Amino acid sequence: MGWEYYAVVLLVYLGTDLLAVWGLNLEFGVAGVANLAYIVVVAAGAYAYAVCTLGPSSNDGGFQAYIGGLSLPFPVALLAGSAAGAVVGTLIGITGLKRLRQDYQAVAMLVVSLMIVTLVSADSGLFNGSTGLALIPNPFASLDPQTERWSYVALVAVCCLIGLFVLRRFTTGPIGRTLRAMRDDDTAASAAGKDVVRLRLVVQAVGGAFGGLSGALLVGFIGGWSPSAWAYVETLAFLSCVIVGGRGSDRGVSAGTLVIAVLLLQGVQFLPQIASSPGLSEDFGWMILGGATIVFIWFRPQGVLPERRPRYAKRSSSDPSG
Amino acid sequence: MGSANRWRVCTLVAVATAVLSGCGSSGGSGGSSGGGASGGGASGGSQSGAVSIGVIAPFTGPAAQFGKLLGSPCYAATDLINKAGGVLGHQIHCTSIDDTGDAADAVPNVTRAIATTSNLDMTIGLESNTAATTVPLVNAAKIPMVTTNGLVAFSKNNYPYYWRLTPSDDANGAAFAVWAVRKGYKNVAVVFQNGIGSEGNLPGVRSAMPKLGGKLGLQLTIPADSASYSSEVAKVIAAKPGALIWSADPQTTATFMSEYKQLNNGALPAMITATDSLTPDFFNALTKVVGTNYVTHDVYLVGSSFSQTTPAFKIYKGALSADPKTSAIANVLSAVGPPASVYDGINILALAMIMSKSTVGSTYNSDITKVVAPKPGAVVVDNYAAGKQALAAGKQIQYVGVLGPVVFNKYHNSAGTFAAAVFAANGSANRVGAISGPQVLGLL
Amino acid sequence: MHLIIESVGFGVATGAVIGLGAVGFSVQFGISNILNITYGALMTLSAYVGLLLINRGVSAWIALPIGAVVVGLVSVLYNRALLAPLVRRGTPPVAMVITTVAAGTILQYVIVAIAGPSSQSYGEQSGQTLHFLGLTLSEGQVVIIVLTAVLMLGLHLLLTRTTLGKAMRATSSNRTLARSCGISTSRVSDISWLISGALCGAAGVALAITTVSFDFSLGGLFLIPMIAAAILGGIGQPYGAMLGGLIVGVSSEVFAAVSNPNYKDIVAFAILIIVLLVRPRGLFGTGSSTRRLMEG
Repeated sequence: MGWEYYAVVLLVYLGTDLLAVWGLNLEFGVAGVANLAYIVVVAAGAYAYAVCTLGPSSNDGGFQAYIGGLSLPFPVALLAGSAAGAVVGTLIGITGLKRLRQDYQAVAMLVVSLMIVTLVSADSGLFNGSTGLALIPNPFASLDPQTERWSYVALVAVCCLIGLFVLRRFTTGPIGRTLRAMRDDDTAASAAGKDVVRLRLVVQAVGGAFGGLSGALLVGFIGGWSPSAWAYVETLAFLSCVIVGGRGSDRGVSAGTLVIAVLLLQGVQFLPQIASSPGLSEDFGWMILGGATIVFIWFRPQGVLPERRPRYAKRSSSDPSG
Repeated sequence: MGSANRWRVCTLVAVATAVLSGCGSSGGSGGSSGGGASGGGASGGSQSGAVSIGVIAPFTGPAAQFGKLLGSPCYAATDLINKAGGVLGHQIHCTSIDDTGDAADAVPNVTRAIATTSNLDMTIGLESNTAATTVPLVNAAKIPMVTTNGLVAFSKNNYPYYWRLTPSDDANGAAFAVWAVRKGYKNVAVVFQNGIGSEGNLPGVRSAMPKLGGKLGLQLTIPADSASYSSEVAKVIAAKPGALIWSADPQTTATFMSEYKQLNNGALPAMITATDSLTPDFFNALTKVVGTNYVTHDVYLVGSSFSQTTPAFKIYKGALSADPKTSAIANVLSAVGPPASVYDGINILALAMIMSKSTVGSTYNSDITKVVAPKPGAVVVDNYAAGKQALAAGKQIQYVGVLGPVVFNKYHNSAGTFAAAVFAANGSANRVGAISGPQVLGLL
Repeated sequence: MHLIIESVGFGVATGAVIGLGAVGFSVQFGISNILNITYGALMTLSAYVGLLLINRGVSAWIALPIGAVVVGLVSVLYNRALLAPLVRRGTPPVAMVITTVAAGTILQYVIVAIAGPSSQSYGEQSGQTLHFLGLTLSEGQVVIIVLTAVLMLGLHLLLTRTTLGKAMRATSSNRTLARSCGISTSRVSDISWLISGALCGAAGVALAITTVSFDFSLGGLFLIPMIAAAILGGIGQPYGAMLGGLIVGVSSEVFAAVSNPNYKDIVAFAILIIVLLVRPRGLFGTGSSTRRLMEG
């Protein structure tokens, strides 16, 4: 069972991380919306999937409390997860519509993220509070274990292919150009007749849908989900995939995801354990992640595989007097 | 389009790298011989190399000390087993599997451990928060697991490889109530930290208090690690409880009780808490702010426990004190139930391995109940070495260890007995009273 | 009702510490124009430096100024080595925020790796309990309130009565203009980071004293209430930050008294979001800081 199962785990995590990073890249890399609350749309998708497949909360002795409690077939539940992500993404996007400077927006998003974690943790009736939800059924549970696992990998792969197809509609072609124009100078973009507000919300919805699907797929595989799985540092992890990989470039951020989410965060777990401080390798993982982010912002802000864009003369950036 | 081809290549490379990064040299956890895992699906026969016991517990995150502490009795058990010649000629050792206290991280860590640890034939599960996801995983891998989690959800379950020797949370809650009333505290306030997993105790307390003629005056959930609980403390003081039924991490406890003392003119109510609080962290954090006197007189740790005068206990304690990895905390470990259940559990599973002549989980799992079942003509043994010897001589055995007689019901749960302990000045604990198991269960 | 009056008192005590941190944050932003999320981890650093000293028998009230000095120096170095160069290269503000988040994460995990994840404590520092005006406060809390007030006054005098203060205000308002008037903006910058870093350090130790028991997440937990207070008061306005701190502290505690204490933390978050959406310049924000807040 061993290595094969572990390969399955890595592939599923890679697939779900790719979907999430693609969504974040669409929002941040291509459209320029600094959504530091991105992990919340992933959580929304996960919780939506969970309450659509868990069945009534009185099951299993009623040890967990949550809203909903349906037993829908998994494709419907996946759509529900995606939709939940889109809705939550749009709502978060509305808070960002106020024309604040980008870094203020970013901090506001961060705070929204923290607020929602606190709300969900404190209200046990909503999604079982801090303890979270468990025993979420795997859609292929009726098959034999090996087929079950690889079927899930196939499911994730199919979702990724569909996702990629949809993604390219937004990140390339006329829509992609419009979004990049909005990112670089939204005054000029709206002067050229583009409805910036509508575009922003659409981007938040689509990005949210990607995140929601990612969360739903992940939770169907793991079977459990709790607030500690979507703390604000998780958005930092995705952000660093985008920054290291190459913001605005689908290929780049995919490479970034592979490097950071898979090779780094899983790789450090293979370092030999130091008996007195068993948690050290995980700490190292985060230190390296933070370090890599800073190194790239310093030396190569365009990332490993930069976005390919037509080059025009750049205007000078931030005016120091504000 | 050229870029489409490049995409395909990139995707292939990505997938290949993902698979390859999963392989490669195994890390620090891992047995002596070859990297490949012994299939959980293979049946019969033995394997080469040492047997590994996976200790699944939080070793990082807020509950980190918990994991390190409660995983330690594994060393005591394995030391004695190896001294007696091992199991079926194999040495046996403990390896840590970090479940981080969070389901999303626990799953890859546990699956990686199952993949990379050779001869992972036994597991110990410690945490309640992640039990719901790790128990099914281990069960699917057909590895027997002794768990100390208290989730009421497992009181009725269908996992053949799951075994529990400690009581569920609601039984613990009823035990709290029994002790409070016995000490004369008829009006109690229940204060739990949000999300600590102690919500499972509440139904037991609620059910038991009125039946004992007592009253649950106030029930409050507080957020973790806040700067100030003054307003919450003021609410509790207003309810005038004689005792607090309490569950919170050391940091929250220290802040809360320090403010309680300050706002209540130096007076503190008694505290009844679970044996989970028997950790150096809790002891140190609390004594630092309210002083040793309160902590050693008015804080009661109630939970599953056992007699400290039996030969079984002396052997257990001796092993803890002899191993340098555990000698410093031997006093703390030897006072309460869950660590002892880890020790007893390993012994029982090891004896089942001998009985079935196999170290493979799917084979020896069915012998586990036979190890502890009373039968006519069976030799009662209280430690591994004696059990091994009796089995070698062709006799039947009944293992009665530190926790006393183990009676597994059809859901593989055994409740044990309860007791109350108080902290000693050096941070260890002394038993101060026993609480009858049947009485507790009757109050639910 | 009595409970509510008491909780106002508690709120003032917590609010004083939040205000102390908020003032440092506000001053830092005023000069550097960077939302420095590393501020939280720096407070944690100060708390642990204080712990080191306390474990060697130094009094907590001496550890406070020492922590302040240490973090002040670290802040100056941090700006010189990382933040200022990035700004000079034209790094956009969002990337600066992400940088400070990443740096804060690194610092926090370094602290965990060295000091371990267990909770720590300075021990009981509160002293006697005082009852007056229906409030219940400890000596320690009163000392911190007085200390914060004194530091506020000192900062006010510095900013309004000294040449340095005038230079700081000028640089904060319009850096280019200040430089063309002959003000050495980089020196002013260093000193501002030193002062605001010192306030950050003082806040860190004060937090550790107030909260009695803490761990590596200390700074991160209180950063948001401090930012909320700073923005509520008007970013760049020290007095506003102080008032903002009091408002955040009191409203959180009163909320906990009358409602479900589990939602106590949300009060600070909600204040921040509402201010940003409704009136980003806060209570006392002036035109220049508002202009900086809005895009373009």
